[in-house]
Amino acid sequence: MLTKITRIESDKPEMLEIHCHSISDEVREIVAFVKSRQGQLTGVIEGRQFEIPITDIFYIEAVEGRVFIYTKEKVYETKHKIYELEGLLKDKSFLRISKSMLLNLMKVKSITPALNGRFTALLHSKEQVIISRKYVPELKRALKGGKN
Amino acid sequence: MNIKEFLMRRIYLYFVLVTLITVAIMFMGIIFDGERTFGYDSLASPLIFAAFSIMPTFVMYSSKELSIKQVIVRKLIQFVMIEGIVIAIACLSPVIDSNNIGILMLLSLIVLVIYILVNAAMWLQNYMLAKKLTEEIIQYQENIQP
Repeated sequence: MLTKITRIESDKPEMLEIHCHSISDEVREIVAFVKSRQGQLTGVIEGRQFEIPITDIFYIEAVEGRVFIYTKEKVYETKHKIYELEGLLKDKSFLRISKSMLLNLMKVKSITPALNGRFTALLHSKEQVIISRKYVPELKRALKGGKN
Repeated sequence: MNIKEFLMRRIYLYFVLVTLITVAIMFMGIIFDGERTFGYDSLASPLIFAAFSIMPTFVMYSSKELSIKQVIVRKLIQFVMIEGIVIAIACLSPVIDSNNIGILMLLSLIVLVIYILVNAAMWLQNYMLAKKLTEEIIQYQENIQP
């Protein structure tokens, strides 16, 4: 794909326009990256597309090959893979807490130990998500400013 | 949990066990055989009991995270194995009267109490870590929040 950047007058709106033969995964990835830089992700509910402010997202979960974005009241599906979103959101207070989940640290109210050596994060939405023990060192690092 | 972390926790567990077994032997000795005197070699018995008791805990190892159901089943197997090992050592020991059912039952009860205390200690360790993480998350949110 060719890349063209044109300088414009400061009074005109900045715009990214993509000319492509088909809307491939690569194109979607570029669009998602740009939107995430602007603080938004695209999600789908019953075929309708929505722009979701990243600050509204509580967590993102992969279930049986599909990826879902959870806000306080709604669940959106996204075409992105969890590892793509991990890369896009790594500077936005999101952290991987299990093989299939990214958590927004800004939405966590408290953490408690679970019976099986894992931890449970209680969110401000009153939902609970499991933090895998494997990802606890990364969480510690992130909270100490090693990431985000 | 990776093998390194698992082994580190076994070492922690071993020293918790040594302490609790020493306390248990002290109480059993006071109750059943307060007049007996021992040589220095008897100091090794908590170390030996702890070493044998740590072996069944390896049933808890898994490279993948266990579900709560799997944890409960493995913990039951582990407990039964520990009871069996401790009773077997006690029966082989010349110090303990293995014909005295009361002593063996008390020993089983002590194993149960120690098992519960060790698990409580492990849970407390996780609880302290969770509390610290909660404090750090609140601090993190205050730092990030505009």
